[in-house]
Amino acid sequence: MATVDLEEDAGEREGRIAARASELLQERRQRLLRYVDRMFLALMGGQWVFGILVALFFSPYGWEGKQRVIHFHVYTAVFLGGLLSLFPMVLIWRRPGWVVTRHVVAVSQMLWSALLIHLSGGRIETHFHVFGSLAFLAFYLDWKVLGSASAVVVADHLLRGLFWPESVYGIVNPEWWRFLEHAFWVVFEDVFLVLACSYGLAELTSAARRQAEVETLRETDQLKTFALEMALAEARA
Amino acid sequence: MRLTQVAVDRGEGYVKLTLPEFFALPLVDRIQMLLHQRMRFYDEASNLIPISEGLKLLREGTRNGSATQASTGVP
Repeated sequence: MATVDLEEDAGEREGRIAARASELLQERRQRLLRYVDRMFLALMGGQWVFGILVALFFSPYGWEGKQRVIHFHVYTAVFLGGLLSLFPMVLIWRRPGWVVTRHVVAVSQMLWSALLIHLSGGRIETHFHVFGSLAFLAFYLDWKVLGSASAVVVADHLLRGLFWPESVYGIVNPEWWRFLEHAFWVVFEDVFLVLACSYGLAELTSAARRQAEVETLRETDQLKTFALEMALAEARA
Repeated sequence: MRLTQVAVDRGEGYVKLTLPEFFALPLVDRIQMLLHQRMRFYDEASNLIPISEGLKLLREGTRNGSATQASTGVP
């Protein structure tokens, strides 16, 4: 009499669960990345409009001799702001979820902070845009994106602090090390955001694993049921 | 979507079979392959179908009196 080995190989089963979990994780991660990309698409458009309004509010006109002209800041907001927004927007539209897209978004977002700080004459309150942006970027659950963004902030503060201090700090003679103070607070926030990214990713991985286990259990159950039905039908025949 | 083929692994890699060929295999072999999940399901365009969907189609096919019913008798 033929015997049937009912026990499924544990290694094979684990391999199948792991493969499915990895597939589900990729799906969920892509969905999240695309969602955050779309969020930044709206934000980039909104920031452009906001930048122009800031320029119009703080410095709508300049003087060339006795002639009143549109201030250079307004053109900066329109054209440089447009460039900073449109490049990531096109990438989000054409390549959502792509790794390069989110790094370009991060760099553009930080350059937007720099531009807004400049347009507001280096107001310290505008520096909060940096911290808000880092928090938004953390939604990607990719700490490397925070690295790119933070590097841009630090480089911007260092260079503008050296060559155009009133544009970033609103004063002409800040201490040379002031950029380090700003960098410290950026790193301070980054530490917690990186932890949050790592926790979020672990949760996503764990949820994918649970779903893969449930799917595998259901499939095993269905296969056993079908095998039993088939055996019973043939026994009856 | 229609289930037209299955692939089974009897220890020497996956081999594609038509449904009547599959049901012509000894019952013990079929059960073994089902329980060990050494079975894959394909539609008419040779696309892989998920197991749950494949089983559903297999059951529907046999229920609707396809060519396989005579050999399986699965209700």
